[in-house]
Amino acid sequence: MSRSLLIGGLVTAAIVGMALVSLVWTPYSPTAINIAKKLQGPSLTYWLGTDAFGRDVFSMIMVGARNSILVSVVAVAVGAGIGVPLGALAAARGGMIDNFVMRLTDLAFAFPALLTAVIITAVFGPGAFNAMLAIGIFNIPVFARLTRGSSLGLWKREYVLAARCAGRGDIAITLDHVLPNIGHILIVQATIQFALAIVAEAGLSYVGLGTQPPQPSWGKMLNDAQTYIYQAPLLAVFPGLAITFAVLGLNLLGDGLRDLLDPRIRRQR
Amino acid sequence: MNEPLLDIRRLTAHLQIGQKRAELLSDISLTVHRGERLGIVGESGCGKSLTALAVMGLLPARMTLGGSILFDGSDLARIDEAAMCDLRGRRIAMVFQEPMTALNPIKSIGAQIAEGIRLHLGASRAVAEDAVRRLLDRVGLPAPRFNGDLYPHQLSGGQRQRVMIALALACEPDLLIADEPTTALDVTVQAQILDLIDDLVDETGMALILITHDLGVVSEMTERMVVMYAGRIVESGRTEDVFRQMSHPYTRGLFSASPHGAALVARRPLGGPRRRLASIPGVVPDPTNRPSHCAFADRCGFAQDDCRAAIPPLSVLWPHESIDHAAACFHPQRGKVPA
Amino acid sequence: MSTPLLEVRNVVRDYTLPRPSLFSRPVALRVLHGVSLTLGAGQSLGIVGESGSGKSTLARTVMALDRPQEGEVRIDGENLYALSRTDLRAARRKFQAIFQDPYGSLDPRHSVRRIISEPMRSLEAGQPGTSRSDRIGEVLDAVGLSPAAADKYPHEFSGGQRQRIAIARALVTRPALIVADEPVSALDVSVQAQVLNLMMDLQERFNLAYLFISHDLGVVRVITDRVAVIHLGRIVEEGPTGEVFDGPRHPYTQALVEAVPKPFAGRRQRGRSAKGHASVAASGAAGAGCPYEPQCPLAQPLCSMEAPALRLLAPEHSAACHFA
Repeated sequence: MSRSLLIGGLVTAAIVGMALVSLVWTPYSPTAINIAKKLQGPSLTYWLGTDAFGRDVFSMIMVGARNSILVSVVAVAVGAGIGVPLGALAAARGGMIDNFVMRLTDLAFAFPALLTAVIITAVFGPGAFNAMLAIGIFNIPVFARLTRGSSLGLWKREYVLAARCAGRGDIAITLDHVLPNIGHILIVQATIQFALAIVAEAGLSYVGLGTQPPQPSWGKMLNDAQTYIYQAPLLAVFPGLAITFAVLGLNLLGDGLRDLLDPRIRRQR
Repeated sequence: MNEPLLDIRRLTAHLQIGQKRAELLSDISLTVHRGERLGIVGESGCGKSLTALAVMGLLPARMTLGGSILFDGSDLARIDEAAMCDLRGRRIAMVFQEPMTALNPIKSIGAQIAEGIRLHLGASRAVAEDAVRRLLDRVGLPAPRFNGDLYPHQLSGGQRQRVMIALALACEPDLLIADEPTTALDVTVQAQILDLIDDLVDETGMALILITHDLGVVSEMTERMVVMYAGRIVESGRTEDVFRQMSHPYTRGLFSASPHGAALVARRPLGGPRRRLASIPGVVPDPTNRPSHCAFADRCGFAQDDCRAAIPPLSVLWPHESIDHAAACFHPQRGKVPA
Repeated sequence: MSTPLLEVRNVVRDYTLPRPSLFSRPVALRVLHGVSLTLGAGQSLGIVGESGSGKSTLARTVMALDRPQEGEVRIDGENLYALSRTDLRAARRKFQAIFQDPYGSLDPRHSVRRIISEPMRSLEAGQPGTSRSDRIGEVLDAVGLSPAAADKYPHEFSGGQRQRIAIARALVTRPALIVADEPVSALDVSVQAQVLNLMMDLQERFNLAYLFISHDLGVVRVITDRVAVIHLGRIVEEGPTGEVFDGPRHPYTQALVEAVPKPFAGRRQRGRSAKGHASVAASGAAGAGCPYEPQCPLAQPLCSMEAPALRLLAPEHSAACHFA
């Protein structure tokens, strides 16, 4: 097992674990306001200190992890759920359908992703659900292109020809022979998109279009911390670190999975 | 007798894979004189390409070499990388099987040919350009249809192989190693490329090592040959003698299994059952698990008890004034080859 | 006369090349120029040609994978390209394929059992599946593999064994015709002989017909009864294999046969026929003349004016040359 897989896996597991624990337990309620204890530094009572309203930062980060992961998972699922079938269809049928799907993805790529997500949430109203959709839509072309690109080579393989000689249709071949053989590529891409979605969600929340208060989110925490950057600089550091670790962990995990799952690299070792 | 150009003595190569030791080359000894054409024949995994790469100094560093490779007096197995770079491409050149992957797709063929000339011979740009033109003419890519500004993808497979040959010839090497140079080509193109290599050897007096799995190619192109099996030389001698005698059972097996050989006599009687090829049963032993006796014994129809007791050395069967006929077999075959 | 097992009639296949730019007209490249063949049950027909000759396209057309622009492919009298989807599926049981690459023709993620049962599952959907497992054992046995092989994966086998698995997959629907596209080209000589012998055994045992596509004249000679030589999408010579290779009538066949290096031939004799290599792939838009004329050492003025048709020279032996 590679080192990046190990470290990435551990970091990701820690963040996911934190999010899961937050479902049943947090040191304090992440929404409980206690003005008397505001802007405290890290201590044994408040592990990462408190914010301007006296809320426990560690509890907020835990619940923020949950919100971030939820938004990202749904966004990646939306992207992969629509993008992979589209890409597979384009590769299987070719011709006009392929052209149409690819021009569609070109169009989606032509818009700067985050800006459009801002527009979408601005039009449909801010909130976690619309953030998921907005980020998800921009994952569609990524998955569509990747699926199409990696499937095209497989459609020329002789085992696919053999399956066609056995009278199998495009859908059966896609499910049986194409997708299983590109699964490792898609999984690796999903972890990378997952990391990007976490950043995107933080970005949207930062400008107030993502997860809505009082639900804590990493982006919103960063925004709030800005006001007190001189009095309590650590307030900005902790959510920042959380985002950094999440992204780093997922990227390392993606790298490690690629090495582990890629049959070519595996054979060489 | 004059010194051979290349004198490989007891060359071995092995690779340590965890606890296992893979014997890739065992006890390879052969010589090549200037102007001589040597064929190396064998199936995949027999070590024929590795032998060539060892001469070129291109074996992966993980492989441990033993023995010596004397090229014009200096031992290539011990020479440092800088000195090897000096020899490689200039005095020893190589042509590979797949010309598309051996050429750089984003550089013009002229630039690729000129690179070696400028690097090794220190020629000026203008001199190198002249040389490129002459070389392209020589390998059958005449102006105006072909010039140095073309890129590999604009050429057919045979034309690319001609470029590879021009590249190899650029510094007038003393030894040309051609590793399956025509395997990827159509048969009519193969004939043209073989003619070209044959002419060039005649003209320049360089030595040729031709590596192939095709008995027909080795018969038509070389005056002496070695047959390799499982990392060893099992038979060597003048090509004519080897084909006439086929003393080692593996050589015979290879010949009888090849459709060209069979086609010489096999005519299907009308309506009768089709004549089968004499295939060699079993598979080549794995390099990590080669027996301590004759590696061919388990597939051999003539094996006896002594074959399973020791490794037969390559011993001379019929001395010849320059090239002895030798086989590594305790029970060398005699008499006509049953095709 | 009874219907032959396979009948290919005047098949024309064009490929549309990618447009050079968005607004230019698509360019068509004709790969097969009206090819006709027949093959009887239990017989084997070789298709010999060099790269770009269209021999693999012909194989795909016969396999009902690539609809031709003109012409028809009939198996047992049924035109494959006129059948409905269900009828084509039923017809597919009668013909199966073997491909060249023993590493690319088996899905690395499927077990041998799943690989071999794929044609059965797909083509015999309505039928009871109880005997399937027995049949997998039978075909594995027929190709010389043990029943235990069924639970292994392709990477656990050598190249020759993989090709045996591919043959087992082709046999499992009990076809009458197997289209073999360069089935032994990627194998070493000794393994190649094993696989060719196996194919001959199976042919006699199951009365199989082979459409055997190869660039290797030696291999074709060993396994086929008749051979068709294909050059730039046209059959230039056709006849009994021995007759064609021992007494080729078309100059292209002559060049092919002569070009094969032969053991015992002694050192090369140089300066033979082929007129150089000036004309590779340039013959997309052939004029009115014989397509082989630019390379032909025997070309006469007539050859550049009129394309020769395939004509009978001896019983069962025909060639497309004015001077054959």
